[in-house]
Amino acid sequence: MDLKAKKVDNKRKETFHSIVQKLLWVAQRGRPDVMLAVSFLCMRVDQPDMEYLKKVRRLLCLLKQTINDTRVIGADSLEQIDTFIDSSDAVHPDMRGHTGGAITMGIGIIHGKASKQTMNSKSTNETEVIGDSEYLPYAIWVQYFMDEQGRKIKRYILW
Amino acid sequence: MDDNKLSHKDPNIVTNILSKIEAKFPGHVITRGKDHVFLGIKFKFLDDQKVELNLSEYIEEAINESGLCIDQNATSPQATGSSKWISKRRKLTTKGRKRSTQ
Repeated sequence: MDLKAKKVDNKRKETFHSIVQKLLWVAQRGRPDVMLAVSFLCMRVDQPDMEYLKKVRRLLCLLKQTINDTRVIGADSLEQIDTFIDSSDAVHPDMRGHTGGAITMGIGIIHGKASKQTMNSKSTNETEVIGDSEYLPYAIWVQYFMDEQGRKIKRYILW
Repeated sequence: MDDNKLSHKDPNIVTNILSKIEAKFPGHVITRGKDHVFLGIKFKFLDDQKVELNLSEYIEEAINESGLCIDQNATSPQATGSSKWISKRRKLTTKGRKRSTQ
Protein backbone atom coordinates (compact mmCIF):
# COMPACT_ATOMS: atom_id res chain seq x y z
CA MET A 1 0.00 0.00 0.00
CA ASP A 2 1.41 3.37 -1.05
CA LEU A 3 0.73 5.94 1.70
CA LYS A 4 2.12 8.77 -0.45
CA ALA A 5 -0.27 8.15 -3.37
CA LYS A 6 -2.23 11.20 -4.54
CA LYS A 7 -5.78 11.45 -3.21
CA VAL A 8 -8.54 11.77 -5.82
CA ASP A 9 -11.05 14.61 -6.18
CA ASN A 10 -14.61 14.46 -4.85
CA LYS A 11 -16.26 13.52 -8.14
CA ARG A 12 -13.97 10.54 -8.66
CA LYS A 13 -14.39 9.59 -5.03
CA GLU A 14 -18.15 9.35 -5.48
CA THR A 15 -17.75 7.29 -8.66
CA PHE A 16 -15.29 5.00 -6.87
CA HIS A 17 -17.74 4.53 -3.99
CA SER A 18 -20.61 3.73 -6.34
CA ILE A 19 -18.55 1.22 -8.36
CA VAL A 20 -17.30 -0.52 -5.22
CA GLN A 21 -20.87 -0.82 -3.90
CA LYS A 22 -21.95 -2.43 -7.19
CA LEU A 23 -18.96 -4.77 -7.16
CA LEU A 24 -19.72 -5.73 -3.56
CA TRP A 25 -23.15 -6.94 -4.65
CA VAL A 26 -21.63 -8.73 -7.65
CA ALA A 27 -18.98 -10.41 -5.46
CA GLN A 28 -21.44 -11.49 -2.77
CA ARG A 29 -24.02 -12.94 -5.14
CA GLY A 30 -22.39 -14.06 -8.35
CA ARG A 31 -18.60 -13.83 -8.18
CA PRO A 32 -17.25 -14.92 -4.79
CA ASP A 33 -13.80 -15.31 -6.40
CA VAL A 34 -13.31 -11.53 -6.44
CA MET A 35 -14.46 -11.11 -2.82
CA LEU A 36 -10.92 -10.56 -1.54
CA ALA A 37 -10.19 -7.73 -3.98
CA VAL A 38 -13.56 -6.11 -3.29
CA SER A 39 -13.09 -6.32 0.48
CA PHE A 40 -9.80 -4.40 0.11
CA LEU A 41 -11.47 -1.78 -2.09
CA CYS A 42 -14.30 -1.39 0.44
CA MET A 43 -11.85 -0.23 3.10
CA ARG A 44 -10.88 2.80 1.02
CA VAL A 45 -14.24 4.13 -0.13
CA ASP A 46 -13.93 7.15 2.17
CA GLN A 47 -10.44 8.18 1.01
CA PRO A 48 -9.51 6.56 -2.31
CA ASP A 49 -6.21 7.48 -3.97
CA MET A 50 -4.74 6.94 -7.43
CA GLU A 51 -3.37 3.55 -6.38
CA TYR A 52 -6.86 2.32 -5.55
CA LEU A 53 -8.23 3.63 -8.84
CA LYS A 54 -5.61 1.43 -10.54
CA LYS A 55 -6.76 -1.49 -8.39
CA VAL A 56 -10.42 -1.04 -9.26
CA ARG A 57 -9.47 -0.76 -12.95
CA ARG A 58 -7.53 -4.03 -12.77
CA LEU A 59 -10.47 -5.72 -11.08
CA LEU A 60 -12.85 -4.41 -13.76
CA CYS A 61 -10.45 -5.74 -16.46
CA LEU A 62 -10.56 -9.19 -14.85
CA LEU A 63 -14.36 -9.09 -14.55
CA LYS A 64 -14.73 -7.97 -18.16
CA GLN A 65 -12.60 -10.77 -19.54
CA THR A 66 -14.48 -13.34 -17.46
CA ILE A 67 -17.92 -11.75 -17.79
CA ASN A 68 -19.52 -14.96 -19.07
CA ASP A 69 -18.30 -17.01 -16.11
CA THR A 70 -21.22 -18.17 -14.03
CA ARG A 71 -21.43 -19.23 -10.42
CA VAL A 72 -22.74 -22.79 -10.13
CA ILE A 73 -24.28 -24.05 -6.90
CA GLY A 74 -25.10 -27.70 -6.37
CA ALA A 75 -24.51 -30.62 -4.05
CA ASP A 76 -23.17 -34.14 -4.42
CA SER A 77 -24.24 -35.12 -0.92
CA LEU A 78 -26.64 -33.40 1.47
CA GLU A 79 -25.18 -35.24 4.46
CA GLN A 80 -21.85 -33.48 4.63
CA ILE A 81 -20.81 -29.84 4.65
CA ASP A 82 -17.20 -28.86 4.18
CA THR A 83 -15.91 -25.55 5.50
CA PHE A 84 -12.64 -24.02 4.41
CA ILE A 85 -11.04 -21.26 6.49
CA ASP A 86 -7.65 -19.61 6.18
CA SER A 87 -6.14 -16.45 7.59
CA SER A 88 -3.18 -14.18 6.89
CA ASP A 89 -1.42 -12.38 9.70
CA ALA A 90 -0.80 -8.61 9.75
CA VAL A 91 -1.69 -7.84 6.14
CA HIS A 92 -3.48 -4.58 6.92
CA PRO A 93 -1.91 -1.21 7.77
CA ASP A 94 -3.28 -1.48 11.32
CA MET A 95 -1.58 -4.91 11.64
CA ARG A 96 -4.81 -6.87 11.64
CA GLY A 97 -5.18 -10.14 9.81
CA HIS A 98 -7.47 -11.15 6.97
CA THR A 99 -9.76 -14.17 6.94
CA GLY A 100 -11.27 -16.01 4.02
CA GLY A 101 -13.79 -18.81 4.24
CA ALA A 102 -16.12 -20.89 2.13
CA ILE A 103 -18.78 -23.52 2.73
CA THR A 104 -19.53 -26.18 0.15
CA MET A 105 -21.66 -29.27 -0.35
CA GLY A 106 -19.52 -30.62 -3.16
CA ILE A 107 -20.36 -28.47 -6.19
CA GLY A 108 -19.68 -24.75 -6.04
CA ILE A 109 -19.77 -22.84 -2.78
CA ILE A 110 -22.97 -22.03 -0.95
CA HIS A 111 -21.38 -19.26 1.11
CA GLY A 112 -18.10 -17.41 0.90
CA LYS A 113 -16.55 -14.50 2.72
CA ALA A 114 -13.26 -12.63 2.84
CA SER A 115 -12.87 -9.86 5.39
CA LYS A 116 -10.52 -8.04 7.68
CA GLN A 117 -10.41 -9.47 11.17
CA THR A 118 -12.16 -7.49 13.88
CA MET A 119 -9.60 -8.32 16.55
CA ASN A 120 -5.89 -7.60 16.90
CA SER A 121 -3.55 -10.57 17.00
CA LYS A 122 0.04 -11.03 18.08
CA SER A 123 1.04 -14.04 16.02
CA THR A 124 0.07 -16.17 13.03
CA ASN A 125 -1.32 -18.81 15.39
CA GLU A 126 -3.64 -16.30 17.02
CA THR A 127 -4.71 -15.06 13.59
CA GLU A 128 -5.74 -18.58 12.54
CA VAL A 129 -7.80 -19.05 15.72
CA ILE A 130 -9.48 -15.64 15.33
CA GLY A 131 -10.18 -16.48 11.67
CA ASP A 132 -11.87 -19.75 12.61
CA SER A 133 -13.91 -18.04 15.31
CA GLU A 134 -15.04 -15.35 12.83
CA TYR A 135 -16.05 -17.67 10.02
CA LEU A 136 -17.37 -20.78 11.84
CA PRO A 137 -20.73 -19.15 12.81
CA TYR A 138 -21.68 -19.19 9.10
CA ALA A 139 -21.07 -22.95 8.98
CA ILE A 140 -23.23 -23.39 12.09
CA TRP A 141 -26.01 -21.29 10.53
CA VAL A 142 -25.91 -23.43 7.39
CA GLN A 143 -26.23 -26.50 9.64
CA TYR A 144 -29.27 -25.01 11.45
CA PHE A 145 -30.82 -24.03 8.11
CA MET A 146 -30.41 -27.54 6.71
CA ASP A 147 -31.81 -29.04 9.94
CA GLU A 148 -34.92 -26.87 9.61
CA GLN A 149 -35.31 -28.02 6.00
CA GLY A 150 -35.52 -31.57 7.31
CA ARG A 151 -32.04 -32.55 6.11
CA LYS A 152 -29.92 -33.70 8.99
CA ILE A 153 -26.22 -33.04 8.35
CA LYS A 154 -24.19 -36.04 9.46
CA ARG A 155 -20.65 -34.76 8.97
CA TYR A 156 -19.21 -31.29 9.36
CA ILE A 157 -15.67 -31.00 8.18
CA LEU A 158 -13.40 -28.03 8.77
CA TRP A 159 -10.44 -28.09 6.41
CA MET B 1 -41.63 -5.73 -0.73
CA ASP B 2 -41.40 -5.75 -4.51
CA ASP B 3 -39.52 -8.95 -5.39
CA ASN B 4 -40.77 -12.34 -4.34
CA LYS B 5 -40.08 -16.00 -4.92
CA LEU B 6 -42.71 -18.69 -4.64
CA SER B 7 -41.95 -22.40 -4.90
CA HIS B 8 -43.82 -25.64 -4.41
CA LYS B 9 -43.37 -29.15 -5.74
CA ASP B 10 -46.86 -29.04 -7.27
CA PRO B 11 -47.08 -26.30 -9.97
CA ASN B 12 -50.92 -26.17 -9.66
CA ILE B 13 -50.67 -24.80 -6.12
CA VAL B 14 -48.33 -22.04 -7.35
CA THR B 15 -50.78 -21.22 -10.16
CA ASN B 16 -53.63 -21.09 -7.64
CA ILE B 17 -51.79 -18.69 -5.29
CA LEU B 18 -50.65 -16.53 -8.22
CA SER B 19 -54.21 -16.15 -9.47
CA LYS B 20 -55.36 -15.13 -5.98
CA ILE B 21 -52.57 -12.52 -5.67
CA GLU B 22 -53.21 -11.29 -9.21
CA ALA B 23 -56.96 -10.87 -8.47
CA LYS B 24 -56.19 -8.56 -5.54
CA PHE B 25 -53.03 -6.78 -6.78
CA PRO B 26 -52.92 -6.88 -10.59
CA GLY B 27 -49.95 -5.93 -12.77
CA HIS B 28 -47.20 -8.33 -11.73
CA VAL B 29 -44.28 -9.46 -13.84
CA ILE B 30 -44.26 -13.21 -13.31
CA THR B 31 -41.63 -15.60 -14.61
CA ARG B 32 -42.00 -19.36 -14.30
CA GLY B 33 -39.82 -22.23 -15.36
CA LYS B 34 -36.05 -22.63 -15.43
CA ASP B 35 -34.86 -19.07 -16.12
CA HIS B 36 -35.46 -16.10 -13.83
CA VAL B 37 -34.18 -12.61 -13.15
CA PHE B 38 -34.37 -11.78 -9.45
CA LEU B 39 -32.79 -8.69 -7.83
CA GLY B 40 -30.58 -8.20 -10.89
CA ILE B 41 -29.31 -11.78 -10.74
CA LYS B 42 -29.90 -14.10 -13.68
CA PHE B 43 -30.82 -17.54 -12.37
CA LYS B 44 -30.76 -20.63 -14.50
CA PHE B 45 -31.91 -23.94 -13.04
CA LEU B 46 -29.97 -26.69 -14.79
CA ASP B 47 -31.30 -30.18 -15.40
CA ASP B 48 -28.69 -31.87 -13.18
CA GLN B 49 -30.02 -30.14 -10.01
CA LYS B 50 -27.58 -27.25 -10.14
CA VAL B 51 -28.23 -23.52 -10.18
CA GLU B 52 -26.29 -21.06 -12.30
CA LEU B 53 -26.02 -17.41 -11.26
CA ASN B 54 -24.81 -14.54 -13.41
CA LEU B 55 -24.57 -10.80 -12.75
CA SER B 56 -23.08 -9.67 -16.06
CA GLU B 57 -25.41 -6.65 -16.31
CA TYR B 58 -24.17 -5.25 -13.02
CA ILE B 59 -20.54 -5.72 -14.11
CA GLU B 60 -21.23 -3.93 -17.39
CA GLU B 61 -22.94 -1.11 -15.48
CA ALA B 62 -19.90 -0.74 -13.20
CA ILE B 63 -17.52 -0.75 -16.20
CA ASN B 64 -19.54 1.94 -18.00
CA GLU B 65 -19.84 4.05 -14.86
CA SER B 66 -16.09 3.97 -14.20
CA GLY B 67 -15.31 5.85 -17.43
CA LEU B 68 -11.92 4.09 -17.37
CA CYS B 69 -10.36 2.35 -20.33
CA ILE B 70 -11.04 -1.32 -19.54
CA ASP B 71 -9.25 -3.18 -22.31
CA GLN B 72 -6.32 -4.98 -20.70
CA ASN B 73 -6.08 -8.55 -19.59
CA ALA B 74 -5.70 -9.19 -15.89
CA THR B 75 -4.49 -12.48 -14.47
CA SER B 76 -5.86 -14.19 -11.40
CA PRO B 77 -4.11 -16.74 -9.15
CA GLN B 78 -7.33 -18.73 -9.04
CA ALA B 79 -6.94 -22.47 -9.65
CA THR B 80 -8.74 -24.10 -12.55
CA GLY B 81 -10.14 -27.61 -12.60
CA SER B 82 -11.07 -29.75 -9.66
CA SER B 83 -8.85 -29.97 -6.61
CA LYS B 84 -7.72 -32.98 -4.62
CA TRP B 85 -10.22 -32.46 -1.82
CA ILE B 86 -13.14 -33.30 -4.15
CA SER B 87 -11.93 -36.92 -4.45
CA LYS B 88 -11.28 -36.94 -0.67
CA ARG B 89 -14.81 -35.70 -0.05
CA ARG B 90 -16.32 -38.30 -2.40
CA LYS B 91 -14.46 -41.04 -0.52
CA LEU B 92 -15.74 -39.71 2.81
CA THR B 93 -19.33 -39.40 1.65
CA THR B 94 -19.41 -42.89 0.10
CA LYS B 95 -17.85 -44.34 3.28
CA GLY B 96 -20.49 -42.56 5.35
CA ARG B 97 -23.27 -43.90 3.14
CA LYS B 98 -22.02 -47.46 3.50
CA ARG B 99 -21.78 -47.06 7.28
CA SER B 100 -25.29 -45.65 7.55
CA THR B 101 -26.79 -48.46 5.49
CA GLN B 102 -25.14 -51.24 7.52
